[in-house]
Amino acid sequence: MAKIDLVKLRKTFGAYVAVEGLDLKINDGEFLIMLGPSGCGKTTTLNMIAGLEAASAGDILFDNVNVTDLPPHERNVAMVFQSSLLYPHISVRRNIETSLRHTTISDADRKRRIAEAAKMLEIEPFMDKLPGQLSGGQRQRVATAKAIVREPSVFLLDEPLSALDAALRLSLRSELVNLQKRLGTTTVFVTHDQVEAMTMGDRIAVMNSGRLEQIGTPDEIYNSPSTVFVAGFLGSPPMNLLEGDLAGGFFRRGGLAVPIQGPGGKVTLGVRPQDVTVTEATAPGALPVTVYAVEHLGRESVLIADDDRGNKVRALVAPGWHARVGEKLGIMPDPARCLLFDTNGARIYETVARAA
Amino acid sequence: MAKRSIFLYLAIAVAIVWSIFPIYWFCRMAFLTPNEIRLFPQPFMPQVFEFGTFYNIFGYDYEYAAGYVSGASGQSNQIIRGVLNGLFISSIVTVITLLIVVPLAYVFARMEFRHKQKLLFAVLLAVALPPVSTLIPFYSMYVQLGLNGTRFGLIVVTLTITVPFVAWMLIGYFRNLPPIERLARIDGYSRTSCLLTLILPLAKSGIAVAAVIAFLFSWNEYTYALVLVNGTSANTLPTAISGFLGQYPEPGNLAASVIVTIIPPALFAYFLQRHVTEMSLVDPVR
Amino acid sequence: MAVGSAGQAIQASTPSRKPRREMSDTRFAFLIGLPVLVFLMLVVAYPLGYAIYMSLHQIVFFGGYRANFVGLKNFIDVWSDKSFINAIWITLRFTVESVVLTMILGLCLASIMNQRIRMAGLVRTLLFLPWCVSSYAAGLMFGQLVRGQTGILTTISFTFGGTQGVDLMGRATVVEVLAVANAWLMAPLVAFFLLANMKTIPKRLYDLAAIDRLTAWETFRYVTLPPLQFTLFVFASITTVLSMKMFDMILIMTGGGPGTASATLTYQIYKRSFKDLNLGYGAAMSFYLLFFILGATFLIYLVWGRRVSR
Repeated sequence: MAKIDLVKLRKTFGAYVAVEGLDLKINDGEFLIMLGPSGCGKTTTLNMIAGLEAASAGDILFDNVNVTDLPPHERNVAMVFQSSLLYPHISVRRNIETSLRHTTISDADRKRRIAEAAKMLEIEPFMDKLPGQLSGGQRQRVATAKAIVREPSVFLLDEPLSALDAALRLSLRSELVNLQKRLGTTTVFVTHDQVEAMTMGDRIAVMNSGRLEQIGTPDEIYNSPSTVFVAGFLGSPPMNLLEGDLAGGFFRRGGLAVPIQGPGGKVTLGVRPQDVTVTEATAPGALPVTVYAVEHLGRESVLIADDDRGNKVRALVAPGWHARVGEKLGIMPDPARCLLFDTNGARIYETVARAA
Repeated sequence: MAKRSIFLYLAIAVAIVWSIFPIYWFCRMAFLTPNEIRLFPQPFMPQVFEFGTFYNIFGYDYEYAAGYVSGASGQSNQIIRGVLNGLFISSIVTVITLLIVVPLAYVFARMEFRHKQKLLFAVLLAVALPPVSTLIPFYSMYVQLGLNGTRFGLIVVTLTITVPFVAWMLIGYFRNLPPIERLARIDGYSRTSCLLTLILPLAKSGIAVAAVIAFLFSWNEYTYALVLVNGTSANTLPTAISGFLGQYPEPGNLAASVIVTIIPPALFAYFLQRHVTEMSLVDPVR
Repeated sequence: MAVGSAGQAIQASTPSRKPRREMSDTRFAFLIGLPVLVFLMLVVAYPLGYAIYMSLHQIVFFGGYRANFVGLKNFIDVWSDKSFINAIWITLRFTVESVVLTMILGLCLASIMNQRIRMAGLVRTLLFLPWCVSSYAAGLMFGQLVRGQTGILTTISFTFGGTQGVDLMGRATVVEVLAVANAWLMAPLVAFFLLANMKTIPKRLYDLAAIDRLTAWETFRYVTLPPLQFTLFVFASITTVLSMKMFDMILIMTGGGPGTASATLTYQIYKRSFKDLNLGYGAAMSFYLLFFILGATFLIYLVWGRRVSR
C-alpha cells in the first residue's frame, strides 16, 4: 500500500512529447482510472510508474520515497498488461510463481499465497494448463492472480479488459473493483472506455495529448467538466457542443437563443442530451433541427438530429416517443444545465442562467 | 464435394511429381547398369535395384547379380572424407551461427537503439554480397594467413553466409513473439536471464528451424569450398562429388553420392514440416 | 561498501538520483551485437575492401605479378563490353522469371499443403524435398533432365513413337530452364513460410466466404491472399537476392552456354576473374552486381514493402 506522487513528469520520444508536465497525487488505497483516447499518454504514464519506461524529467514518489530510477521489481508493483499478457510456454502455476521470484518468503508461504490467489480468482482447475489453452476471461483472472500474489504496494492495470467480449467485461469489472476494495491496494487502471472509467474508479484522471485535463470523482468529471474535451469525452450519448456567440444575456446560434449571462464573445455551449427538451420547429428560441434517427434503448430513447450547420444534436426522449426521419423539430436546452467553454476549450464559470 | 476431392488429389499428385521427379530422374542412375546408362533414349526405370554404386563410392567392390563386378571408385577416399568433413564443419557452423545469431536477432527484433536501421542495412549488405565476388579476396587472405585448405578456414567463410541470412529470418520471427519482456522486468528478470530462461524456450521452434537452415547452407555450400578446400584434406562432399564430373565420368557413382548428400537434409525436412505453423512472419491472431 | 569519509556518508544519506539502474536497451544491444558486427565487418569488410582495391587496378600475372593503378577505368570499360550488357539482360530475365515462378509455385504448394488431407506429414515432406537439394545438385539434376541425350522428354517422345531427342538446353530456352530449376529449388522454402502464415488466417473468414458464395478463386484472392502480403514481400526480396547471386547451379548446368546464352553477371564475373585472370575487371563487374542487387531490393521495398510492412 502506498500513495503515489507524480511531480512534473515528462516523457519524450525523440521530438515527440508523450507526457508533458504531469502532476498527479494518487491516494493510498485509491482506485484511480486514467482515461483518454489512444495516444494521450496514459499508458506511457503507467509504464513510467511501473518503471518500464524511464522518465525524461520529473519524479515519481511512492510514500515520499523517490523511485524514479528504481528498476520495476524494486518498486514492488504488480502489473496486468493489455490482453492479459502471460508467459505462453509455462503453466499457469509457474506463471504465478514467477511473481515471487525475488521475494525471500518461505516455500510454505509461497505455496499458501499461490493457493489463496488461485482460490480467490477461481482458477484452481486450470493451474497446470498453458495460457494458450485458456479463454480470454480465464487468462485475465490468471494475470490478476499473478499480480495480487506478490502483495504489491501498487497495482497497475493497462486496459486489461479491452480484448474481452462485452458480457465478460461487465462481470470482471465488478469483480476487479470488489477485489481491490477487499485488498485495499492502491490501483491505477488505464482505459479508453468511459463506461469502465465511470463505474470502476474512485477518481478519474482524464488525459489528452500528454496533458492532464481534469482529475476528480466520476460525479465531478461528469457533472462539472472543466474543459470542453472532458465534456465531450464522457457521457453516452455524448454531450451536445454548440459553437455560438454570447452577447446581451443570450447565447445565440442560428435560431437558438439561450438566456445565459457571461463574458461576451465566441463560446461553446455544452448541454447533455437529458437536459434539452424537444419542441415544435417554430418554437421561439429553439434550435431548428431535422430528425436523423431515433435510437430506442429500452428505458429511454435518443433522438439524433441534424441542425442547420450539419452538426448532430442529441436529445433524450421518453421510450414511446416517435418521429419520422426528415421531420422538422426544435431543440431547447435547459439554461440552468448549460455549460460554457471559451475558444481555448476552458470552462467559463462566471455564468448566470436566467429563467427563459 | 466428390468433384472437389478428385481435383484436390490430382493437384497433390501433380505437386508431388513436380517436386520429386527431377530428383528421381537423376538418382535413378545410381541403379542403372552401365549398359542402361548408355542407352538412347534412357529408360524410365532401372530393371533391378541393386546398391552397387553405394558400395563403390565408399570404397568397396560390388558383384552384381548379373555376374559382373563394379570396382571401388577412385574417388571414394574423397567421398568418405567429404561426408565426415561435411558433418563436422556443418555441425560447428550450425552451433556457432546459433550462438551468434540468436542474441543478435533478438536484439534487432525486440529493442530500440540508435543506428539500428544502419546496422540492419549492414546485415542486408552482407546477405547481398555475391560469393563469386568475394572469392578472390578470401582466397588471397587465406593464402596469406595459411588458412587455405583448412576446415577452420571453411567454417569462417561459411559463417559469412549463414550468419546474415539466418539473422534476417530470425529477426522476423522474434518480432512476432508476445512482448513478455515487460512482464519479465516486472518480475525482476535481468535482460540476460530473460533471454536465456524465457525467450529461448519460447522461441525453440524458430531456433530449431534456424539451425536446420544454417546446417543446410553449410552442408550444401559449393562455391567457396571449390576454391578454398577442393582436393585438400578439408574437402567437403559437394567438391568431392565434382570429382565425378572430371575426365572419367561415372554417372552411377555421381548419382549415388548425390543421394548421400540429400539424406541428412531430408531427415531435417521431415522434422521441419511439423514445426511449420510456428514459423509465421506475421502477427499470430490472438 | 566500507565505512568511508564524511563526504561519502553525506552522499549516501541524501536520496541518490541515479541508483542501480537497469541496463538500457542500447547498452544491452551494444554488448550483444558489437562482437558479432565486428566479426561480420571484418570478414565482409576485408573482402569488400580488397575487391575495391582490385577494381581500381589492372592486375597482371604474366611476367611477374603487377598491379597498376587505373582509377575508374575498369568501371567505365565494362559499359562498352557487349558481354557485360548481355549479362545484365540475362540476369534480369533469369531473376524476374525465377522470382515470379517461385512466388506462384510457393503459393500453389502452400495452398495444397493447407488442405485437410490424409498423410499430410508425408505429403509435406515430399513437397519440401527440393529444398534439401543443394544448388549444384539441382544443376546436375535439371541438366540431366532436359538435355537431349539423357532427358525425360526424349524418353517420352520415343515412347510415343518419336524419333528425335528433345533438348531444352538450346539458346532460346536455356534461361527459362535455369529459372524453372531455380524456382523448383526455392519454392518449398517460400511455401513453407506461406503455409505457416495461412495457418494464422481465422477459419471464420472462410465460413464468411462460403456464406457469400465466393468461388474458390475469389476465396483465394480476397481471403487468403491479402494476409500473405508481408510474407510474399519478404520472400520476393529474398528470392531476388538469391537469384541474382546464383552461380554454382549455372556453372554446373550450362557453364554459361550455349555460347553466352546463359552467361549471367555472376558467370561473367567468374569467367573474367578465373578464366581470363582479369581480376580488376571482374571486381568492377561484381560491384555493379552488388549495386544491382541492392537496387533491386530497394526498388521492391519502395513499390511494395512500404505499403505492407508494419
